[in-house]
Amino acid sequence: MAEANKYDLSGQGGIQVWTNLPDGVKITLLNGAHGEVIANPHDGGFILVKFDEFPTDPSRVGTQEYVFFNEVRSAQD
Amino acid sequence: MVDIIRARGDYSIAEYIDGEKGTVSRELYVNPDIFEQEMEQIFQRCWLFLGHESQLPNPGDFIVSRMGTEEVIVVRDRNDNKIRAFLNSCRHRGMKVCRYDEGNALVFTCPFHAWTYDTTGSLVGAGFYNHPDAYTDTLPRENWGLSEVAQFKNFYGSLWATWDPKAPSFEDYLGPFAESLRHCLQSSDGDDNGLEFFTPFQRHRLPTNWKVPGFTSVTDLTHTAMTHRSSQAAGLHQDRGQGKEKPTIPFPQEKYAIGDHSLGHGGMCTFYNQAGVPQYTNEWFEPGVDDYFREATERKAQKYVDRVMAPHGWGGGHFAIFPAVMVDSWRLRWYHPHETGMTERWTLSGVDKNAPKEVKDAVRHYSERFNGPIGFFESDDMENWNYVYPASQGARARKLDYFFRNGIGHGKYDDRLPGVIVNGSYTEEAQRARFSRWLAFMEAKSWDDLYPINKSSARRIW
Repeated sequence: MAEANKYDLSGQGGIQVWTNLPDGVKITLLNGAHGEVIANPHDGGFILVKFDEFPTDPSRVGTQEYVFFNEVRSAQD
Repeated sequence: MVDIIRARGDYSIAEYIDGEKGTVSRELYVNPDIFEQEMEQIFQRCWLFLGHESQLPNPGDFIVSRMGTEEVIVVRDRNDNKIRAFLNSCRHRGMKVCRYDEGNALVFTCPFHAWTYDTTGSLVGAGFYNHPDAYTDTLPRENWGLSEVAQFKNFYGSLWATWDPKAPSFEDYLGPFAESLRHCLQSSDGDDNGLEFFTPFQRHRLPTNWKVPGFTSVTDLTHTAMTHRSSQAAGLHQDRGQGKEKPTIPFPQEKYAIGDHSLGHGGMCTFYNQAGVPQYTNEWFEPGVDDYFREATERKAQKYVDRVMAPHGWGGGHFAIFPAVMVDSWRLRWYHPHETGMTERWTLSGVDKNAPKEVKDAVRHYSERFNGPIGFFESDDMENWNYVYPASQGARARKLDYFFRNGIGHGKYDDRLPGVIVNGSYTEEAQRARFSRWLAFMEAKSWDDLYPINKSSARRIW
């Protein structure tokens, strides 16, 4: 049985997981971009992420941007 | 010039003040049209006090302050450490972006549609911004940040702002009172920006017009004998509790009520007539506190050995910055208009930032005893302010005038504060000065019509 992802963003519980997401967690966006959480204001809205992969726009690698919860596919350590 | 059509028919705003008789119509305090005009003509233009930098020590720290009837977020940026102030209203649909009094924030997220602003006020995100069925190219984020104040000033730790880009510099706005304000922000041993202020600070609402406390109490010695009679009889008026000693070494000084009719500032004023500082006298009952302040006074005396202290208030007295900020050497009090008959008063009580804990505790306890809704002194004042408005707004009452004649015509100019009239310490000179400036603002189309930019427009109405 696959180990449950402790950062499961799906369902009603996902709201709380997103709100409490700690710094350093890895984020994968729906558009395939990948980054790391830099800062989380813990209000359930946007989180500051630094991108290390951005297939649809490589110029954004290395940038920090605020990501909204509904743009995210998954989060993991 | 605005015509107010109410109660007495078609009157211009100037006709509500009678310079010959020394009276002011009660309409100025109870007329909602005049109140709305004040919000535009005065509170949109003047430099307004926001708070003190000690309330925002760290990057990301914020407080929510007020300018007139509006809230502003005052925030220290996370990156460049600068303090800025923004209207607390989302640019999307106007929702309050921040509903906390103070805190530390990475961003400010509007709870309505998640429009999110960073600590420079820039719009950094909006919910569904990147969704293909939403904004697409219709939201240029760089144009939709929070509305920032036009000018901002950190004056020796005190924070001020104005919405008006044409307002003069803050120093020009203060005029000869700049040094007085600077002095009141010094520590007991004479260091600039030497204070910190206790938080959370006192705030309370008064069912009265903002000018009742904001103008009337700018200096008002004649009220103390009656209004504060009970606290005086109980000995509570001996400030810290021990009773004031008399200094054995007199220090030459003069005390007046002063008013700058061109700038609107004024209040209680002590002129010090020689370099140095007055002798310290014991006044605290907490052990060790007098020793601290005596030593601080001695250090200050060294700094002022060849320097005369700037004029400022004395004891519990104060001077005031137009429109509604009262400055003592140990507290800052200011009034926010809410409605014609509702005002909110904030008090920041200060102490030397480098004082030991026992001194800070003693000063804080004293501030709590003296000030605010549970303070013995100010609860006396509130009893007056709470009843002035309801007793003035009736159909008969509002046709009457207020008396502001105390000392009229007996003041004189004094070179120690250029442009300022000095008068007996029990007169109402400072209050008349505020009305002079009030009228100038209410009639002016812009700062171009107002001194100090346009000195020819400086006027005396009394």
